[in-house]
Amino acid sequence: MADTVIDPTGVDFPPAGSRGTGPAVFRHRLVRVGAAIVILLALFALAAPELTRRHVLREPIQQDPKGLDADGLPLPAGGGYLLGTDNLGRDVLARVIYGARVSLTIGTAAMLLAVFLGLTIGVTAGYYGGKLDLALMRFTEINLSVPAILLAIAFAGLMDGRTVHPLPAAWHWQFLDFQLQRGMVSLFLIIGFVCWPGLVRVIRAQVLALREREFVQAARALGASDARVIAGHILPNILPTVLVLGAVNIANTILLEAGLSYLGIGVPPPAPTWGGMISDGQPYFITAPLNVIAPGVAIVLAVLAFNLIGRGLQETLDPRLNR
Amino acid sequence: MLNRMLTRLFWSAVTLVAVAVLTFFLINAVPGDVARSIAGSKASTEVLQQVREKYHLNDPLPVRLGHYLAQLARGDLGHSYLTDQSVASAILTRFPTTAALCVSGVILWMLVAVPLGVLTAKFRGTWFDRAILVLSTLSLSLPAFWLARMLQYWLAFRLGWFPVAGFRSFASLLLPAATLAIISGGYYILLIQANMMDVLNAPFAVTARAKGASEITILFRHALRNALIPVVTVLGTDVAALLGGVIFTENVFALPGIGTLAVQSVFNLDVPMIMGTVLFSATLVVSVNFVVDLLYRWIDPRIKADY
Amino acid sequence: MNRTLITATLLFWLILVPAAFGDNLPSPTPRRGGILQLAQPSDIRSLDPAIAFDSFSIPMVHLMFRGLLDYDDGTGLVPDQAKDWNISPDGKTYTFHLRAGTRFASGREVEAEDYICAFERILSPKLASPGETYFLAIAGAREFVDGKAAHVSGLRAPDKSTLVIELKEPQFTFRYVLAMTFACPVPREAVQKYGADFSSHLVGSGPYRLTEWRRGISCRLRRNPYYSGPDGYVDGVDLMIGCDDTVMTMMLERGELDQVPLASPAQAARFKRDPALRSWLTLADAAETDYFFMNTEMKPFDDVRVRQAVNYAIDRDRLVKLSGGFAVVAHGVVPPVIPWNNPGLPRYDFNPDRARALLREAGFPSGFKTELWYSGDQPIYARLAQGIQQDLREVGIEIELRPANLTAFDQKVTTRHSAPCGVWGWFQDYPDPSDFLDVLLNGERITDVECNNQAFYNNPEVNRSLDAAGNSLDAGERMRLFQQAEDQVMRDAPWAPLVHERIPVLYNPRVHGTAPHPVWLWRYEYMWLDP
Repeated sequence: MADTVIDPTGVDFPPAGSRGTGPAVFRHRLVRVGAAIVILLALFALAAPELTRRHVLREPIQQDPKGLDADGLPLPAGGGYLLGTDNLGRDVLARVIYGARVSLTIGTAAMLLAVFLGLTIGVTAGYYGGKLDLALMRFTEINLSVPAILLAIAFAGLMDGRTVHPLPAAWHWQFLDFQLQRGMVSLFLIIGFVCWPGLVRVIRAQVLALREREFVQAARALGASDARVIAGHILPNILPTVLVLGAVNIANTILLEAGLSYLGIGVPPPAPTWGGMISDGQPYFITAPLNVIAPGVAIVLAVLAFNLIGRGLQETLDPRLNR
Repeated sequence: MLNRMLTRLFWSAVTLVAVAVLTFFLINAVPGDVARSIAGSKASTEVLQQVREKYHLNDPLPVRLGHYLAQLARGDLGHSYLTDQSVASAILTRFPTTAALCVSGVILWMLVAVPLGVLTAKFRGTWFDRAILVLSTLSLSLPAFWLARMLQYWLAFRLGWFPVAGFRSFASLLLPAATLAIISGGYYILLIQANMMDVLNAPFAVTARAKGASEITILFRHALRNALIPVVTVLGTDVAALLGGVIFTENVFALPGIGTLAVQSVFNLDVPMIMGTVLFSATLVVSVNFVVDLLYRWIDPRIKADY
Repeated sequence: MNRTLITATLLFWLILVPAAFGDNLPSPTPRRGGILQLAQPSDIRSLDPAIAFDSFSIPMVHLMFRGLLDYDDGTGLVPDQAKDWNISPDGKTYTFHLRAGTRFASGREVEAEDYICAFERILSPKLASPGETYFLAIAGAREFVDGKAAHVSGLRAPDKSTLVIELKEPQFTFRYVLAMTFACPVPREAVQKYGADFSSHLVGSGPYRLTEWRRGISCRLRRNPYYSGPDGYVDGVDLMIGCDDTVMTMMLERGELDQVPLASPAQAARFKRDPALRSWLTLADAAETDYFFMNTEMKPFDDVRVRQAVNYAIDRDRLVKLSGGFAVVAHGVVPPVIPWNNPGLPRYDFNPDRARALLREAGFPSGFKTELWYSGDQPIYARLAQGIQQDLREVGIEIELRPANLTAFDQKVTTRHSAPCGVWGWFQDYPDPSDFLDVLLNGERITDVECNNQAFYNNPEVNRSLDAAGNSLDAGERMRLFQQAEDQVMRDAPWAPLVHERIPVLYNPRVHGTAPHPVWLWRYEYMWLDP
């Protein structure tokens, strides 16, 4: 999935030191709609355990024998189950809401990782130029050549519980061993690692443009160290770009996580994941369609929300597209 | 020009080798008893030992990498651990299906996205433009597997307008292509829209209008051609993303393409097959980029070299 | 037989009770012609009879290759491409006279040497055949495998149509081995000519032959013009590879497919409920057992009270319900469908209080934590594992689920001191209790790796009974010994047997002759299609 809708040359920079983009951003309708959806989802996700404790919401992993009908099939919506039950008698609504916790957490964590990596490499390449730039961009291109999802599937497929001894086998130091298990941590690491190459080009282009601006030239002429220039001038000014990239990237990481869960290599059961619910619910689609439709709609809403935010941010920050 | 081309070719080759090395390390670095998946769970210890020797599984990693690269240089992608089929022949057998699917998908979305993109530029600011924007963003947000299932269930199973699955005739490609088109198309509508805006306000367009050329002529003759340039570029880099969408689509519609091969081989831990598919997709991406790069320079010589 | 590398296995080697939901309509006259449209989710691993040993390969191999013995309409063995056979009184020598006029698909008549060629292929170390262990019972096989002899001394062909097999020791179950697809003849000149490449030039003496095989994509079989037995009705089968169960069912209803071989409870329940669709569903009682094994060498499962507590804690009726009713509760190791019975078997009924009491007695008043390993590729195990997780939580045992892909799972649970417990299933290889008790629970078969006794259960009494039963040729005595063994096993509780599956198979109404078969499940050559 294309992971950026922005054309980097169009994003304009405010004069150094200005923070005028704040209020303008939130006045944009798309951003408001997107942000509203995200906040709603996040609130539900955060509140879920409390709601369960107060018995407003059911348990997401409790297999309720009353949750299946006489033939052992899921119940349709109604009668205490707002969206019906799944193939093990669990409440679909509860699982969708708890699934938001998984998706939003992994999505955000993966995005942060990807942005961090992308920034590191992109800023270094753009700022220092020359051979370093060439090498880093070659490296990025290599990573870009493999479809992200394919790489993610390959990595996630490896997570089958085996133990890795990172040190040579002759050294019998076991303490650095770790187990490759499926879980939230390994998943966000994989997704973040697979996403960063897509961000580098844009960041680097920005940094290249910025490098030639007067205030940067001036700072360097005055003898400011590279670190100061980067931290004080470059980074704050690519912030708008990074925000847009970040928003759109979360949309992608959520889709990736859903895809991996769908294939069965995401967070293991009984954790509720949207992709996993769709995959489990497929055989029951004809008798209990909500099992597949509800988590699908949830994914679409979440991803759409972040895409809208990204688009709205972009329109605010890119005067050419401003209406 | 030739110099440039050769340099590009060289770097493309280097990229591919690097992809091979990196992927090899990442996939093989983690120890696991591959011998079992080759020989089957019933195999005796002796059989497993033979298998380990045959596939050099006991050798240290760099040695195995050396074997693998030498093999690649001979053009041999190895044999599947599972079925002993040649990886190259497996991929080549399935490539036409994936290619047909991708091409159909691209044609479909171009048929839809190009007119829509042009029209939204023409009618910017109106409800039409806004609606298309939202719809495009919506289509970007659909998970491929979910959309594929919905289309399959409603249009193929319920209404019977299309075959449900398998690759029996050209009609089998229509729904999968539609899935790909919907998912990728939104992005291009937005891109075309953005670029059309530029072009319609550019000096040459203003001049043309002043000279009395009709809006339609401007739109389609001048603006469109210029607006398509970035699309072509992005299409090149987007092959990787397209292949990603293909994986789920092929899975749901049971099309015998590279996508299903990739997923099956990962689940079976069929390492040569995984390497083969990764390398193949990398080759595709690199080749398409190379071609696009050439075309790009040919279409618009003013564009400076990137890196 | 273990569940194999491929997901959602096609059932095979079954014993079948005539299904409640069968083809109840009066059958119209069988009609020749037509092609059966089949599909399966995973690829055929091999069509070579020496290699094929999984439920996605064997059905096709069985159509292409036939041998000395086959099953009749039930579990009885009858001569197929042998005219007659006999076993010597000491149980060690088997003599077969081949039926004249049996030909390979290449036209040549089958000879005794072709059988010897097939058996030696299986024993040959180069081929790494999974069937090797079955043929080691033949005298001289071990020497052949070790390279000390050029041929297997126990295999003789006194003339072209006589085959003599001599075993090292009498083995009651060897006759069943001869009915497996491993024991089918192959044309020896083809094997000599193609060597290792024979797998790409397969020729057999079965009713159909291979005409096209696109690996991982599709497979086509058409009539073998030289087949000596009664012709199959259908002209051939087209097999499509790679669709999942949901898609297959949709294709079936749309008429694009003729059979869904292993329908999930979800699909099957829908067909069961709908009066218009009910006749499409056939149920096969499987000769298999799904079980929860506990590693008796690892804490806390080394204490028999803990194991018994687990048996009391599991609500097997609810597990049946989770399987959509397509299973029956398993009270013992050996499935009831196998022709024997064990009326005195000790039982564990659902009793969580008793479970908690036993746990307290064993020193776990507040339970304990452990990991449960299962094959994540197969939905049935995921269902069972999650069901067990919930039941055990009720008595204080916290289970962490560890799904793994088949290979990794297999490796984990068959290695000593590795997995504390897990869920697994075992299908019969042949209809005899030894296939369950001896293979899975005999302590003398324990190895440090690749061990089929995942509970690492070792009770010398049980071992003695099983060994004695293995050597005996007296049917009554064998049954007695197996009953003893199973009783003791249930008392020691290294397992908590869960369910025996009932496999739903769906057929499009245009297919007739779908009456299930006890061992082969379905026989395509007996099916015919509407015009």
